[in-house]
Amino acid sequence: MSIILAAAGVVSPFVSDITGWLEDKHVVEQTWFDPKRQLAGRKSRYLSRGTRYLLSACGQTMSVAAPIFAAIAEEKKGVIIGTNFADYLVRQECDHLILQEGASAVNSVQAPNISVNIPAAQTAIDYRCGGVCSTLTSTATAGVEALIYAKNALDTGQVDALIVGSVEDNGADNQQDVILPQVLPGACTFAAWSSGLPSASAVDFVQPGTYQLCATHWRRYPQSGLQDVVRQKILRQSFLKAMSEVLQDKPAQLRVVWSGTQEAHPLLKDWLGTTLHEMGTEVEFLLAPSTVAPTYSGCNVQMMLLQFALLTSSKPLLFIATNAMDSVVVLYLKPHF
Amino acid sequence: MRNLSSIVVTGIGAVSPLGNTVAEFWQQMLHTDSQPQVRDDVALNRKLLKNTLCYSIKHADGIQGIATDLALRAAREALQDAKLDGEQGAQILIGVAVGTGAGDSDIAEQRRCQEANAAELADVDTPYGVAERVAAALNCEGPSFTLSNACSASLYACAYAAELLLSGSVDAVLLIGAEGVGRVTQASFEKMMALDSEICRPFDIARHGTILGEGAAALVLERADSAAKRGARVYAKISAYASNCDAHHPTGPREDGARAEAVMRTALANAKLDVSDIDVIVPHGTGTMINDNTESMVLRRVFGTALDQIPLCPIKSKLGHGAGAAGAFSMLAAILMMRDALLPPIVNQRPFQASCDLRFVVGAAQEHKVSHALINAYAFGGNNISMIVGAVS
Repeated sequence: MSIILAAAGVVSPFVSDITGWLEDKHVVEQTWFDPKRQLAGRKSRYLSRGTRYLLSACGQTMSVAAPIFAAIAEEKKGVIIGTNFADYLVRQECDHLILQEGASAVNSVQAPNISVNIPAAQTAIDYRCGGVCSTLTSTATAGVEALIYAKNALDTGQVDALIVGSVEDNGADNQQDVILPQVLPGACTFAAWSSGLPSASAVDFVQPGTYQLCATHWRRYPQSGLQDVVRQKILRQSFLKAMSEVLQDKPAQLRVVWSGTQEAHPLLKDWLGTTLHEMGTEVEFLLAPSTVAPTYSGCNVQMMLLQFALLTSSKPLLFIATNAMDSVVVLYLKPHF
Repeated sequence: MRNLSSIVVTGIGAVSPLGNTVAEFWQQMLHTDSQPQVRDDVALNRKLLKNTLCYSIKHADGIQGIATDLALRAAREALQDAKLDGEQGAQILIGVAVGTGAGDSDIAEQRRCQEANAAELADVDTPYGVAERVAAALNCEGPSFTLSNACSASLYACAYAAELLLSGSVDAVLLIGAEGVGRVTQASFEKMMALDSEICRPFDIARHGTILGEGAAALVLERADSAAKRGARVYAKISAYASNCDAHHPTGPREDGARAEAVMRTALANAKLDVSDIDVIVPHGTGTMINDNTESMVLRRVFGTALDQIPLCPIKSKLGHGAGAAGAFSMLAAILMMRDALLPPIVNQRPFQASCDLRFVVGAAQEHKVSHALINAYAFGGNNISMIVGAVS
């Protein structure tokens, strides 16, 4: 089965909503997040920065997807989020207080924010999602893994609709006070629902950038194995088999995106090239905008690149995410008309 | 939330405050009382925190990344037990699923004591990369992921691992719950008044909080057909699970327990079992006032008078609250109860609270045949999950 990914929402130092992707205007704002404006009407004093970013991106997503979610019972709606650093600086700020003044200096209202699943939980509270609520934290690939988790939850009927996305915090809502400059802050969200969802608002949903997530492949291709003559043959076989299954409809045209904190192994690229050549597929490789440079840590990079790719294309898309620990996550998406 | 009865457990491993192996864990669980220790070291000391009590493990000098270290040790034992540490393991695709609340956040805490710059830390510090580090160390090439739904993390990771197995995308999954006790978590629990100042005593009338515990429990999960094909020993099957979210409060459970009740009922329905089919319950039972009250109330609503006949084993009275590892430890304990037809007693028991006066095993270990066990886990963020494991004929 496939699932629909739609209603993208995004906040980051470079893009304050999806029009930034569509207009290719990536402006670096000095103060890029203002909770009074971007969470207007919602008290946010005790929320962590990560929670604020996620709620703001979700606000954009739900401004489009609300009619679909409104028709679904609370316990059939969920939230799946990927993050690596949503709690990192909350913990650091808390730890500095403990080391300087002792545990009594910790603010009891903000103490729960040390738990990395709080942004997802607060989103579930705000949008009344009482079904599955999970936070994945695998290095770099947690966001795209959240999409696979979402697909499983929808395919197996655990829920009918989900908010799925990623969130990271680098320490500041502006460019001056950043503590972790290597982390791309902000949040990136989609609404996801089963392609078989019968509600009229889902059936009639037409928005740019709406895609079906049709197939996935996920495993480790260790560098050591790729360099070993015997293991390499086995890994090649596995990759080619997986690609032929993922791309079983043999698309005539395909946009391909490689995304990762380090360059994917050249062998994987060669093998994919061979597969696509044999299928007779016309391939276009997407060049990532500099604002989502692969050198950033955290899982926003991959999710924002995916969002950019979906919003700027109308071709089938093969999105391949890798991380420094040799995980390879492949998503095959087709435009949903 | 499917019936998962084709997923079986073929290997077990554990490092806990009760010992460094499953055998030590189980012997101590059955026959010995346990007490938390007052920590007073560089990371957790009494100048910084009023309460440094925890059920801790002695770590080798210089260990950083405690969750990864514990996870690896438990995983090696589980793989060896499943006979997947050698040639057989190399023939199949093994994934790694880790549930942890705070991952390796001790790395940053240790370095902060040395006043390192935070940005420098994050260059090398990926606190939640536990699954990838285990997968790399053990040459597991299947999907590997870390899931961090606070104190329900490893039971959620178990459920998702079972789903991946059913989807056919992996042949076996090493499921690990792993947690160290760090300064920030301890201080935050202290500040939220969630810690007991003496012992971990779930359901006790005098309880006033939990006490955190360290450890890792690992289970090898496989599809029943592939386990049978390679002649694997099978401990138990995962019959079913159900999960949901309170969507009510960041830390407190819904006082009516409606969502926790729903997952228990759904898990039973998914397993096609009646309440009278459950032989033992391993509750979440943390020792916090509201959690134990709510769980007791919900159990009574779901099980009715049948609950009077079903023993409860709140294992945190011996292990402390393993946070993200807690669900995996509950799974491990339930499987061992099933294997040996023995139930471990609760310790630290004094009078139980009237509203929590369920059928606890007290005093000595009790002989009791277990065909089906219900396991609960709840967490910050309102995560609820119930899982049922069953004996294999």
